[in-house]
Amino acid sequence: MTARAPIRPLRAAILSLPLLWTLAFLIVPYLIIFTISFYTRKYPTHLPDFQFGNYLAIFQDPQYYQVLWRTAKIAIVVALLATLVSYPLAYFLVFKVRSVRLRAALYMLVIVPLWVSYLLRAYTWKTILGSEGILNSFLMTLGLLDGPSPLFLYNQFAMVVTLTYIFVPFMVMPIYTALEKIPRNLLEASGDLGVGPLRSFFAVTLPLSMPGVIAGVTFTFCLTFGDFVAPLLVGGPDGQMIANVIASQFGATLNWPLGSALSIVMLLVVLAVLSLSSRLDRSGRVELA
Amino acid sequence: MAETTALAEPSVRSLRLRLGERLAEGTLGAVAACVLAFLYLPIATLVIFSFNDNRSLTLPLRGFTWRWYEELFANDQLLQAIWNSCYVALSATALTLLIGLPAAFVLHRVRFPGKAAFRRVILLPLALPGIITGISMLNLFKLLGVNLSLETVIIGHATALIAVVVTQVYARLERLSRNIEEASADLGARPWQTFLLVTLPNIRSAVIGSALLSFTLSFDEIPVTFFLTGRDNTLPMYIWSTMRRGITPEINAVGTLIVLFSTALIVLSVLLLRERR
Amino acid sequence: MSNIVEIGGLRKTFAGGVVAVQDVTLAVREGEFITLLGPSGCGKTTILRLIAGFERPDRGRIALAGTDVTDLPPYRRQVNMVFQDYALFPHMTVAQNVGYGLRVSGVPREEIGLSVEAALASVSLSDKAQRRPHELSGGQRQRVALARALVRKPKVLLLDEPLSALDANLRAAMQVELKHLHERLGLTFIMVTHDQTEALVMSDRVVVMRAGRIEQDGRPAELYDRPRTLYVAQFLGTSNLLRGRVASTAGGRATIDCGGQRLSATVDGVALAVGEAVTLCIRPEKTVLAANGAASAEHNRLEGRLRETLFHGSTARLMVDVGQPDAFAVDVQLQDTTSAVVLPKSGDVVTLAVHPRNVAIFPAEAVA
Repeated sequence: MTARAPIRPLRAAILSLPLLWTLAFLIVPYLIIFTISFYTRKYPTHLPDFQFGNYLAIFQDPQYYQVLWRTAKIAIVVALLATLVSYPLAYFLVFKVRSVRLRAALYMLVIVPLWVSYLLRAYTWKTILGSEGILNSFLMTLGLLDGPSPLFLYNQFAMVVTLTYIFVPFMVMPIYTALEKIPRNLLEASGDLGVGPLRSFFAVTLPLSMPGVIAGVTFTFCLTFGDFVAPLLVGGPDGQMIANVIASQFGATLNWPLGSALSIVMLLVVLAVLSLSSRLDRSGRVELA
Repeated sequence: MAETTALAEPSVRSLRLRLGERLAEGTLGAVAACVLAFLYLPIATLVIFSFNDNRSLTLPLRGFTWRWYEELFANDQLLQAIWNSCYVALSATALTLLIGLPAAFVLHRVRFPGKAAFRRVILLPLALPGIITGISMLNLFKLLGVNLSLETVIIGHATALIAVVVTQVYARLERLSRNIEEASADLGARPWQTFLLVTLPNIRSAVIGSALLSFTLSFDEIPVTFFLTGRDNTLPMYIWSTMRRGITPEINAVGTLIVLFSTALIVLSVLLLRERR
Repeated sequence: MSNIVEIGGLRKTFAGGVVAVQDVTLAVREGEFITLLGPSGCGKTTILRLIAGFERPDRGRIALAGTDVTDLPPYRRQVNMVFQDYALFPHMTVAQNVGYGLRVSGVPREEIGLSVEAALASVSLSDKAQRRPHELSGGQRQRVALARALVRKPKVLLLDEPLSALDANLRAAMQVELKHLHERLGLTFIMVTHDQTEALVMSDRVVVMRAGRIEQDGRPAELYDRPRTLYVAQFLGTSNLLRGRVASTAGGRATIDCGGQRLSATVDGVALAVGEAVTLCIRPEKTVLAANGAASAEHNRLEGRLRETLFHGSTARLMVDVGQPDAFAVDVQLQDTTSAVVLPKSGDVVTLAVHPRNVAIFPAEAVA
């Protein structure tokens, strides 16, 4: 229980700093883009207004809703792929690596790439997949290709590979944590009851690790959904994502109201995914309790 | 005899079962190894090609050279960008701690109306794509007539990274037994003494950890920087702009240095955070 | 004797409207060892925390050595607490822990060193000064916590369930050690516990609490022998409860009909109406087997059938069916020659004897 402490001025000042900062640099800016999203564009600036034209454009002009849809699709595919890749690794580390020290070291090894520049990690794929790149020259030395293939880079495939690569450590972390929390005796009890390892996995381990999977999927989806570096590096003409469209509205296209409306849509999608995941997580936990 | 067969029969079955288990385990191990390879091969490529004596990044390797590193250190623009990034990352980290620490305490200790909303908003940048933070702050600065500069980038980074400090410090505060602070007050310590002598030393690992992480993330940040920087380039922005023009081995050299630097930071954090058990 | 702590009309409500303490008034005399006893949630710890200053009361005052401290923060109160889990600072050595209270008050370094040495010597931990808390055993941590609190020379030492984290043997030893420490220092101790043995062994005075109120307050023997309510009777020691109705009253004695068996009890001050439902409370060790010949004519006789015998080492507890919902427990001392006492066998009919002054009589409230 918190005791009712008398409020002293210094203490109050220190504690209200984060509140004021949040207000000034998070809430107010969000409100500003929300407001601008109803403005009318008047090249090269915009006029105060209250109209839904920008939002209508997003959902009527295929140029925008197709990008939105494509972005969502890529984000979903990346989240699923990252889960498929990360789960076995996390599972292996938690349940099959018996030495605690080795497990900690391997886990560390998975996390380390997170600390290495995001940009560089995306960039290496450009060097690997490019037509003059390593993959091509490797396949050519093997004699599998006669000449360099441009098929690997500048498309959605390249983006999915790159983004999956970037988010695997992000995905391993929560799954690893969730798996580690599962009491071993629960699995032993399941084995003791004559349940086979595979059924134990589906009946006990998988459901109990769902909170980790949900957390990982949520993060990966949200961050992929708003990514604008990978599309520019390895995405081709059909690899543009919503963030690139937004960026161009604030850059070359100079349509701030539309850019703001798109940002608000992105914000809402992210918020929706976050609240959905926290709801799933909560209902999952109740079931387990 | 009858007894032995009765015993032998299930043992054949269990042998087969154990074989299956072994096989499954082996497969799992192989998959795990592949994933680890997937994580490290690109980084290895980066490092190897930074020493390869060939301007184009193709196999086979042509031999060892320091050339790209020499070119790198002769590049004033690049050196300026590195310096800018250090300035931004250090300032943003300091600012983030200054705001994030009290924020974590407020969330943990103080009850006030609108707290749940405050928590949501302050943690939002964690899952929110950087572009939204960047754009919304760009709008704010334009509205206020503030010129874009490295300082606006610092404010942007700090805002985006508060969430990192808050989550880590908050989690540590949750685990911190409240009664050692009560014991401190009971023994006559003023609130500031309790904070400095008892609370801070016990959340030290979270503070250092989140500071190092904030530094790394800020050093590497693109989306917020993209919208908030003026004429000055940070290192990732510089790399990015050259990278879009084409692939050069100098970038591999910079990348290798960054990998080295990140590894040093990680080792540092592991050393600093080794818990005294 | 002067009162070192005075509490008046104290009330404390927590978030969600839980009333932890309601209207508690208590005076603690200087040098007294007083124990707040009760089950968890009875408000005893809250009172301790209110005295220490970690909580502020909704209502009521707390005075320490004649000064009102109700609105003072913990660091301005001359009381010190030994926490339930000791709350030692994990990042400091034992010596730093003990010296902390002096350090924050600006005591010179050399002086701190001497005080810490003396304090550690008094709890026989001089050789552990440079250890960290996690390197110590539970009992040693306990002593560090004590030394840390005592080095401040508080007016009152507060102990919050100080022995609950120790194992049974150590707990018994520490009970005696704490009691001796109290005698040696002459300091006022206020302890909180849910363990009745601890309360009875260590304290000069025990305050039994129930649902935020003081149920009874008195010397340990007084509480044990003359519980004022059924709650206290049940909380302290083992009690046999017999339900019955008042058959007659005469000359300070009442005769109670318990399912056909009549028992007489000494009545002091309580007005009883004939026919009223009552609950009798009889201690196992105040009851004897009539067959062993210790009973006089004045003793009540109670017949029953032996259900089982529980061997306790120095005593045996006989569980006798006397026509009540629960079996009646009787403790029989086992002398050096077990044969001297003839124990009945299960199924035997036995006659129990108990003196009327050992039969406590309470209005038949709902048994807690």
